[in-house]
Order: sequence, then structure tokens, then C-alpha cells
Amino acid sequence: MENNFFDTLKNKEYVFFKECYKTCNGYCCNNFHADSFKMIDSHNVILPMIEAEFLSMQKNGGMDNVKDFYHKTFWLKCGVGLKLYFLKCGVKGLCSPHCNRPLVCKIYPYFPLVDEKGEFLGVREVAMLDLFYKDDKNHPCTLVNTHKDELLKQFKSSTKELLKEPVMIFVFMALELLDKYLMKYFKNYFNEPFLDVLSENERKDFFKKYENNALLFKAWRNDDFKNEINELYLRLEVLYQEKLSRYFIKANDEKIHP
Amino acid sequence: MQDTKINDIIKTYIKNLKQIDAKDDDMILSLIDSIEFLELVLFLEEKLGYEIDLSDNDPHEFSTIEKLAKVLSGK
Repeated sequence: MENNFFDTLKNKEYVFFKECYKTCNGYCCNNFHADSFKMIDSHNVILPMIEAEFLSMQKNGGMDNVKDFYHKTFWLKCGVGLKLYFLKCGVKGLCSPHCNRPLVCKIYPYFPLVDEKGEFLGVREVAMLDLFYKDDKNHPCTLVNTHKDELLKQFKSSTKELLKEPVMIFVFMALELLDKYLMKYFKNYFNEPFLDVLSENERKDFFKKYENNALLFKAWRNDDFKNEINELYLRLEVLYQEKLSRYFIKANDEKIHP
Repeated sequence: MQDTKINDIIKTYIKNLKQIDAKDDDMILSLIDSIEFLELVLFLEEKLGYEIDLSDNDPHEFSTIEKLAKVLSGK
């Protein structure tokens, strides 16, 4: 892919707290709730990325010890698809070279909330299970429970370049939609679907439903979500045209990008 | 649909996808990844003619081919 935006991100960092992993047992690189799941792989964390990022990682040599991945193209109602890669990572923070790790790791614990013009509006948890803490003080990540104000200042400044890129605006706005529908799904079952509020029995039920959703995507397999994400793409395509659409697959191009 | 019939559909699907002869008690996610599991469910929905809702089931109840076929035959 020519002029791939992700090629410009190598060696860029967005969160600057020295050795924060020593304060939390490397929470972000571990599946801390692994014992609560019965079917899904408990040894790995799954790192999603769009195809352009995957291609850029491959071009840069990728990571020596994180190579296992699978992919799927998600189709929008308007007939364009976004191919996502899911990297399985079980090296618990020891990925090498560290600078080649995925963007989702570099921006952890948050992603920027943005409007259609790329204006920074705030932050939201980038790991889905992290959405389910009511009080930041109970969040397992030290950056969230202790250094949030400082982190937000850093993040607003360090993610500026990302927010100028149409495909990143789409990705961040799509993540916000995914979160909205995930939360809506859980609110069908729990008044307050938060791990720091639920009783022991409720937590068991929560993880059962979380695992089911991870396998069956029930939160997002509905017309409301499909319409909203389709409309998001169409609005952004009007604004950014080829700068955005070049990262998507047209229905009849699937054979070109197997 | 009978669980034996659903069982066959699942095994054939996995055979076509992975060239593996799956057994009844194989853990499904040891044969296919979670995205492929979703594709399998979409395929089964097409065959069965209804949307599969397992949101009230414990994942342990549909972790193997035999168990998934049994759960779906009771839906």
C-alpha cells in the first residue's frame, strides 16, 4: 500500500510513564480475567488493527515473538468492507522490538473521542473490558487510577497527529459506537454493569454474558448498530473522499485482498 | 433439527474450513478461532433458519461440537 499513514507512526509513542508496568503486574499485557472465561483463549490478549496497520507492521519487520493472527472483513451496508487483523499476543509485555507493537498497545489505556473533523473531545477506555469500571480508583491500570489528569494532558497533545488522519477518525468514532452498543447490551441485564459494583454472583453472570458476546457479537448484530456505523462511514466519506475510502475494500475487490 | 444432524453440519463445516476430522468431544475453539466460531454460527443460522441466541447459556454448555449441537437442537 502506497502512502500508508501507518508507515509514519513507527517509533511514535503516545503515553509517557516510565515503567508503569511495575506498579500493576503488567495489567494491560495480561488477560487478568482469564479464569472467568470458559471457552475463549485465556493465554493471549487479542490486539485488533486495520489492514493498513498490519501491512505497515509487516513492512517494518513486525515483532519477532508475536506472529499469530487471524483476520476478518466486516462489511458495511453500503457495500464497503474493513479488513481487521487480530494479533494473538501472549508475551506479557516482552514484545520485541517494542517500538513495533500495535497502535492499540501504544495508546493504552484510552482512545481519543473525536468529532468528524478530528477535534479531540475526551477519552474512552480502549480495552473493552476496561469499560466496566464505575470508579476510576478501582481500575486496575495505575495510569487510570492514579495519574489520569496528567495522562489526559499528554494524550491530548500526543494524539494530535492521529486525529488529522481520516481513517483514524473513522476508527475512533467506530470504537465509540462499538462501546455504546456493548454498554446498551449489558444494561439489558444489569442496572449497573460494572465490575466494581456487581456482587460475586452477578460478576459470574457478567463474565458469562461477556464471553458469549465475544463469541457471538450479539451487542452489534442488530440494525441500529449496523445503520449507525454505515451512516458514520457515509458522512466521513463525503468529508474525506478517497483519503478515507482507500483504506476500505469495495465488494468486488475482495479477491484482490484475500 | 436433530442434534445428530446439526453435529454433522458442524463437522462438515470444520472439515471444509480446516481439513480436520473433528470429534464429538473436541473443544470447538481448539479447532477454529473465535472469529471462525462466529462465522460457524452465522452458517448454522442460515441452515437452521433462525437467529441463534445463546446469551442465557453458559459458554461451557456449547464448548464442544456435541454440546453445541445439543443446545441448538433444543432451541
